[in-house]
Amino acid sequence: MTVSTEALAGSGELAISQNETRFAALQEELATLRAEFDDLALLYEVTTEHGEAVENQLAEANLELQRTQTRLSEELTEATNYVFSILPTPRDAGPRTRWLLVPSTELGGDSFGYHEIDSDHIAFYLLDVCGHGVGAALLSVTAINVLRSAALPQTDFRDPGAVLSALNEAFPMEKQNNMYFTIWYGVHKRSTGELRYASAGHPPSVLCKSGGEVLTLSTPGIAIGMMPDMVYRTKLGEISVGDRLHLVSDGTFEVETAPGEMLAFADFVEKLSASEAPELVLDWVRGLNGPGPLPDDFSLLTVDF
Amino acid sequence: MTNLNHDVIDGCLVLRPSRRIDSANAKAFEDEAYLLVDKGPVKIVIDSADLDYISSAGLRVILTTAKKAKAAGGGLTIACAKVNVREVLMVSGFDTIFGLHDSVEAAIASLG
Repeated sequence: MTVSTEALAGSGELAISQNETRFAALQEELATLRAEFDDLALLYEVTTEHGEAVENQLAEANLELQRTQTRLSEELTEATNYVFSILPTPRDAGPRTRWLLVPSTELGGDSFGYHEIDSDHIAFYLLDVCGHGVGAALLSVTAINVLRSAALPQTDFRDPGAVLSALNEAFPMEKQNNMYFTIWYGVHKRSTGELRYASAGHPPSVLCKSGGEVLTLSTPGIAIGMMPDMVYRTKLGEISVGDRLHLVSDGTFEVETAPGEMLAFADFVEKLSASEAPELVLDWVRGLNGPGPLPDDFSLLTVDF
Repeated sequence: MTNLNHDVIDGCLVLRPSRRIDSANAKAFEDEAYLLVDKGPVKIVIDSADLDYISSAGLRVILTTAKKAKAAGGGLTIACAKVNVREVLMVSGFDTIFGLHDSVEAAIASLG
């Protein structure tokens, strides 16, 4: 077999040129990869820097959030202190008063008070603004301050029906951010033992007579502010020495005794009339409710005549 | 309450809330009731036959629904309340404002 040197030389050249082409292609690929690598390295650097910047921003935002949270909780504590500061000091005698207020959240809508209207008349009242929180508490203390300072025009504060009717005119829900409140208001006349009272959508007060009889006191009427032009009527009762009167909010007894089973008001009244101190009633209701906060504000004002 | 049961009888919207209206579902009740009032009859009967409990949050949405119905030229009344619910409605004065009826028919008739 003879092989032409020309042909050999030709095939050698071909191989070299093929290698050169491959080499050039590889070089090109390498250049592309290098460029991509540089891009990625740059991107990585930028991303890292950006990440650090974001982290810094987050840390700053977090700090700001913590500062705001601290400020808000301090303000909430201030508000809570104010709400509790306007609640009356317990009286030792003539009549003796004891009370408990346990808001279900930091600030509740329950509030109450009592004060001497004149030397012969003393008023007792407890109100419950719908809902909880700052908004409800604001209306609650406003209404209590109005009652305490007798700040309703042309209203005889010895006449509970007139007081509630005037409150209803003064606090329509449309002008109170759609909030309204229920209230029980009573006036005791010392010289005669007469008790005049009226309620607006509020649970009855419980009068435990010294002889053992238990009465629930309420009058028909919807919550203050729900509807304009409502007339609230005064009812008459009698209080003797040794009687005990309890003013309550619905949160005091609206707990479940079993899943879906609410405590009946009559059962609550039975327990209330047998309990010596507001704390015992709270313990009992808490026991029924189970662990965790009560679903609504618990407030109970007990008056011993 | 995901879906508020309801019917239209004799041109009245009959709402049938089940089990409870409390703070957990009062908003849902209100939203659905509002939608229904916007769409159709503005005379409303709350048929409480299946209602075991109503909280103050529940009373609130009954009131707002009643106000909406009234503003639209209609009204609201309540039927078939069980003892517990009836007690709450009476303490809150809703019985005198909206009326309590022993049957849906009587409630519808009262809305005229």
